[in-house]
Amino acid sequence: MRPKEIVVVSGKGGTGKTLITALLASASETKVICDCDVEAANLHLLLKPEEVSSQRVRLGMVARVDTGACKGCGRCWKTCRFSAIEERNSRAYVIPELCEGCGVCALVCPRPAIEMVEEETGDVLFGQSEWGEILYAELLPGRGSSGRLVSELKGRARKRAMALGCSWLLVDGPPGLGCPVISAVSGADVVVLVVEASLSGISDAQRLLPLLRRFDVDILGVANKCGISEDLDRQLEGWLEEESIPLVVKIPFSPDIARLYGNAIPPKDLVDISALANRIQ
Amino acid sequence: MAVRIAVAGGKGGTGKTTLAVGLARAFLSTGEKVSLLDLDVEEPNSHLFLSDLREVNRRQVISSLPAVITEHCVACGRCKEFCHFNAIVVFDKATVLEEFCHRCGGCVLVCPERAIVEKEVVIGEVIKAVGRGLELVSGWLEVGQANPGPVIREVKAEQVAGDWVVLDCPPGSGCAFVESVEGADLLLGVVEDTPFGAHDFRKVVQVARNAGMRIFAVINRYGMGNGDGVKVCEEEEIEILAKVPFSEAAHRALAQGGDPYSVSPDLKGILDWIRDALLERLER
Ligand code: SF4
Ligand code: SF4
Repeated sequence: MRPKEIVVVSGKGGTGKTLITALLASASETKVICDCDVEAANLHLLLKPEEVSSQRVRLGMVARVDTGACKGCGRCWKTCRFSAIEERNSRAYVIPELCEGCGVCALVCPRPAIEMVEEETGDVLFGQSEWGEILYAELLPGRGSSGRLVSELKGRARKRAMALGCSWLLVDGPPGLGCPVISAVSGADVVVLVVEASLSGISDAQRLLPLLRRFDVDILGVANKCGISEDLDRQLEGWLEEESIPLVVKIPFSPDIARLYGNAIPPKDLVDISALANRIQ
Repeated sequence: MAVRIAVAGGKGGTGKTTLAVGLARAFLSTGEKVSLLDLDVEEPNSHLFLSDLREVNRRQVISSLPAVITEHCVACGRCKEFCHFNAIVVFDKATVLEEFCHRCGGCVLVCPERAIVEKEVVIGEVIKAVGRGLELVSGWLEVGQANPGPVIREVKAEQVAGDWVVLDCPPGSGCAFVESVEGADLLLGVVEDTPFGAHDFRKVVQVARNAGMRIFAVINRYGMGNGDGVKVCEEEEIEILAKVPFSEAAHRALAQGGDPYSVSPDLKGILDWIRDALLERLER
């Protein structure tokens, strides 16, 4: 049977996605855990996997100029949509951080002096933790292909979960609502929407929801850091109700939870998410 | 020349927006001209803490998306072959998959039948608001669009009046972050004093170092973690300008959209301190 794919997202960063994912991991018997926040992977710091194996992956391309062959005609820098080629000393110069690897410069170069070469994207890591198998990835700083790394990582995690006959594939999603989030959510069965009970937390979740609605997924709500103001709690709950998203777990704001978490200790005894686990089952 | 300060952290929710808005206010209070650019275009939040600003301008960010003229397409497959992002499928005709397309324009160039043209689509908005001497420019990526880069570039291209330009950068260490910090004079890291904050900040530092940027750090929610944030700054030889202790009262006020510069005298003092430290380090 295909494992149920559960993706935890929130829009805003630092709302408790990783915490919820970790606690969900402890609540299920058979699962593979996958951290799709490849630009800022944190779950492994909490779950502390052992015997981690790592593999460098190349998923993108980058333009390389042969300055000997380049005549400085300028077609490439005039055509590049990403301002990734400049004129330096009358020759083309590629700014690798901005290059998307589209190959248009190589296409328009009459010499040809530009070659597209594979670029290292990052590392995919795999380890065993007390809580289950975990796959995560570290994007090389500044690389542009985080969405592709997310897809690659999730593909591997899916295969692994299938092979092991797991009932769950648990995914810690990235923040925001761009490419990495789209890659993380696509294929999900259940999305856990973590809403922080703050003005920015609510506003970011509200912006994310229309994107989630484009996918055929069940959405379950978790409210985190509640009790700061009655007003915010009411606003949060009212919104979820309006959107017919069940509020399954409410976690109060507590410096004790934050302190434990800040020391990379999962606050298992302080947060009860069994209702969420049951609901997903 | 205006000084551009990029406020970044790597990890989400470390207090970037709080510091960016607070610092902008702190500069303003000494009579400096300040512009704040919200470059977290996927989830812009600066405006929530500046509710008294008045919108003065709003413009759309347009990008071109290739579209196939089916009558002209002979299904030769050249476009599909060229596209590095697998954004084109060809059955009896070519079709562009919008979510995967990076808008490089390559397929338009390679199509021998000129069957691909570019149509304009709105991919975001740039909104400018002013008030109390402060200028805020925020970028908003259209929900459903995958690539924040062009919207970030548009926000940065906006003419601003400030002598101090504070950039509220997106989380992470990928392309959105790189686009945001490009051209900044210095990076001010907001670092959580936890293993998570430390791990993510390290990646940000690598990008900033490669770009030759000066880096300073502020440790946020000091006392709530295991000390890894401070450690990483020491290892990387980054000067810590301030350690901001966790305050429940400030936290509550900020959650409700309070202006960081006025929610507590302690926080105001720290923000002034950071401003003065920056002035001194930059010999202004
Ligand atoms: S490959 Fe594309 S993005 Fe990179 S330099 Fe060439 S035209 Fe620009
Ligand atoms: S514009 Fe570039 S990315 Fe988009 S479909 Fe054409 S070749 Fe592919």
